[in-house]
Amino acid sequence: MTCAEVEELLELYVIGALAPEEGRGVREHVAECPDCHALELQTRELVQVLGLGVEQVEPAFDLRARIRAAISTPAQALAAPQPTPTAAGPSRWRSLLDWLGPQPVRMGAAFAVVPLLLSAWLVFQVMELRTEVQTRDMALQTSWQTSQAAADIMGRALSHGGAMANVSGTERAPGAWGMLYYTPAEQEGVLVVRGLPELSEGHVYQCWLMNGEQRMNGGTFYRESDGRAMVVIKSPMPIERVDAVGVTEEPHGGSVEPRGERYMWGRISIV
Amino acid sequence: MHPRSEADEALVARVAQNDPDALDEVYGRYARSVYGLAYRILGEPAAAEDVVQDVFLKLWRQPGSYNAERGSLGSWLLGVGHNRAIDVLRRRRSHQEQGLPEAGEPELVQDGLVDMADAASVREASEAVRRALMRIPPEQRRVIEMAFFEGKTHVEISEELGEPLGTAKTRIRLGMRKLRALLEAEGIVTQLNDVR
Repeated sequence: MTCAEVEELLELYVIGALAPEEGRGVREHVAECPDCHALELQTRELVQVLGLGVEQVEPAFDLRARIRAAISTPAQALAAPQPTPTAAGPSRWRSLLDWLGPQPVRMGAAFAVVPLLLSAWLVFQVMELRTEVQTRDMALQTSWQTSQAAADIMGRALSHGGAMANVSGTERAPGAWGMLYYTPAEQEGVLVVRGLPELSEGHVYQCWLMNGEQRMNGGTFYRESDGRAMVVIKSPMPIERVDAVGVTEEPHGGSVEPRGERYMWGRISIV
Repeated sequence: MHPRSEADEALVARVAQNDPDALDEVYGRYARSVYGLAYRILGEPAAAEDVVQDVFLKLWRQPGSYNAERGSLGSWLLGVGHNRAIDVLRRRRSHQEQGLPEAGEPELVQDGLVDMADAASVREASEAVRRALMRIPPEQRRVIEMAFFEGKTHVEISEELGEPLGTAKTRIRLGMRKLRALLEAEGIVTQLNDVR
């Protein structure tokens, strides 16, 4: 491939959109051409920031603990040792039993093992509970921080100079209703809603702030089992400049623009 | 250009010394970004969590595979996560094409502009990327998303959209160049230097 041909294919190459033969050709060329390699690295920067265009999402609260547990276990120890079959297996067990002595002694030994096993089981249960408490503590801490932020915003909204806007359910969610709490000159608000229906697996609610034709992402959120939800919205402009707020159903992780069905909508006006 | 975050480098040094609290700190900074990207690609919480776990375990077990001289820790984690998720997606689609990039360390651009360790910088960059995506023609945005988030080649994209082979190729190229111009103007990516 020539440098000119590679330059035409670089964007597709770094984003992984080339067919195998084309990709191989580009790869071989940039490995030998310093100029094209430098151009490739500059082009890759764009692909790296593309990943930032996706909504940040909190993983399951126990994932951190699972990773922690995984790094505490050496990789070798994770592989279960395979039992080695031996032709002398049965006679080995017989030898062990014989070593333990006559029948009554064996019975006594068996009973002595039981308390030891029970102790080990109890220790294991305590360790499991400790892990569960730690992971729940982390989840509670995150939830607490979000609640604190929401409380601060709502407190300002409910004081002099603050504002609220009604948000109603659409045909998709006739029983849903809510309120957007905000301070007009600020760029944060809290949307509190009730009566949201359950979404199908792999979907999330996403809040949008509308200004003219512009649709700005206000954040994704999930509902509680009783249909309630609360989300702290961060706006790129003072909320007093926002015309309306909407909630749609989007794929998990959110969308760059509203694509799913609209579940809620409300015009920003003083209540 | 901003100075690369020393805190990230210090954290990785501690990870290299088997400090689990350091890995925990890295997780706290970047797990949401990596998980968000993985889930956007794979569409399943369990699969996305596996990718996140793979990414952070890779950092733990091979801290030397991250080179601070070549880019930010956050970019590296996102790059590894993207590669891993796309590999999972392609294997799920039973693609065994040779030559497709395997999961591993992505090549980083030296001195990228976004300080991934700074939440405000990441938020600003995220919004800028979303704005820029909205400003390119929808047909170009669609094919870029199909390539980046669905791991599809331009041939697969053309077949899926029922368009001539060269159309998807051209749209991806033009869309990426428009994105670059928009993000250069916002100071999110560096100006493309003439290297010839």
